[in-house]
Amino acid sequence: MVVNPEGKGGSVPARTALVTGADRGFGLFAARELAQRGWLVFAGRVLENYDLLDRLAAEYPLVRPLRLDVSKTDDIMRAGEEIAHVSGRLDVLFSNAALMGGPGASTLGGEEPIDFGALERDFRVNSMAGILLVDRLLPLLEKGEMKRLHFTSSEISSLRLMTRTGSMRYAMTKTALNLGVRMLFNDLRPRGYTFRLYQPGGMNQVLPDGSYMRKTKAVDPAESAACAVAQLLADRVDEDRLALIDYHGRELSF
Amino acid sequence: MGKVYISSLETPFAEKLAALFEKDGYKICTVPEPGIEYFIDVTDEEVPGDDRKAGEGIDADAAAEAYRKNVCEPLARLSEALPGMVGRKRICFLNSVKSSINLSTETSGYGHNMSRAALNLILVLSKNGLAEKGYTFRLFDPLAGTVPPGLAAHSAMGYFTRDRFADDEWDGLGRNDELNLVVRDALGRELPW
Repeated sequence: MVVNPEGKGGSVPARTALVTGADRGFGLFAARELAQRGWLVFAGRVLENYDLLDRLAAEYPLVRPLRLDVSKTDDIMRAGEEIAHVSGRLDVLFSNAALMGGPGASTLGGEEPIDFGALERDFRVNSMAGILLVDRLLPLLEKGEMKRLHFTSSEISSLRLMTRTGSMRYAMTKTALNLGVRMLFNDLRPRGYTFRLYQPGGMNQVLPDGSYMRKTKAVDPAESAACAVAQLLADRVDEDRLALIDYHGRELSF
Repeated sequence: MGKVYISSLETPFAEKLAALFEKDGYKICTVPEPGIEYFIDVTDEEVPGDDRKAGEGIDADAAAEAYRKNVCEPLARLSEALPGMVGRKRICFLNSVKSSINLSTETSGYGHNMSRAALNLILVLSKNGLAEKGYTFRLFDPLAGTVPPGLAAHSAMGYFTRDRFADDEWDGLGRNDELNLVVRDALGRELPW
């Protein structure tokens, strides 16, 4: 059943998206971009100390925050139940949630021993969660009209372009994600699904008060999200090939 | 002669590879110890439950176990062996086209295949850092089920023990193929990432 998110009747949203990692930054701005275009946006959150999503939902009633730790199957199932109840379908999955950095060494031959617990945790969140979302939400995606799957990847996932040394943790999770998306593509592209694998750029971090922690040469997350949503919604001439594309529309080697 | 560490001798490929090294006078060990010249990890573990396609109830815990078996445990063994390695200090792992983002045709086995894609990145990144300390790397696909293990072992032996091209005289290009880590299969083909 498709209802107005405020339950007051009126216009019915044309299409429905789920954006994960929408507490702040790139995910938050992607949710805003979609809401501005009239989409009903379920926006996953996990950070307790950020209220930016609440502020966005107050401004855009089409944004519906929901608790979603993407590493927890129960959270995914609950999100699916809510989407099914409100919208009955899912047109776009915007899989964006990720852990970046944090304590725990991950350098082979480094001074500190590798923290294998942190390695596995990040694999579960950054690599497997996007696959699990598709797996558990497939019945809703099947009912959607668009069947479009976005995954936020990174340039440091590229084996061809890798020049870094040292910490392996974040980079290896995104390479694993790319392979998982290839497997989904092999399976679901023949069934009409289309894919976006996006490199958002190194971005300024958004703090709880909405201000930016500015880094040299960083990309503005609002600008990158605008590029991502433009790429998300535009049909491509080459939907039958999987491509990792950056915020300038440039393609990267795997 | 030196020592060769092989993580397990339980597969015909590993057994035959060990025999080739022994024939050349190397001592084989299956536990990391000081003085290893070749570290060869032959892990390729599939985990029960990690065999589902999208929509069939992919098991996150089975995928995590595949990650532990194919990435964490081999890396722990390598971390232990690394400081004591000598000579060529050559680190060799197995992989396959299933981990190739460009060429994979797989639709199930997410934990296994994604783990081994992660392993590729870990080795490329680690090679960048460890090359200046004299470590060299090989990634090999034995084409299990296609090429007989004895032939694959001979192929691996050549690939693992042969040095790769580097400019002998400075030509301004500074080319060194040891810095270009790729997966090569038992037929000598280079697999795209």
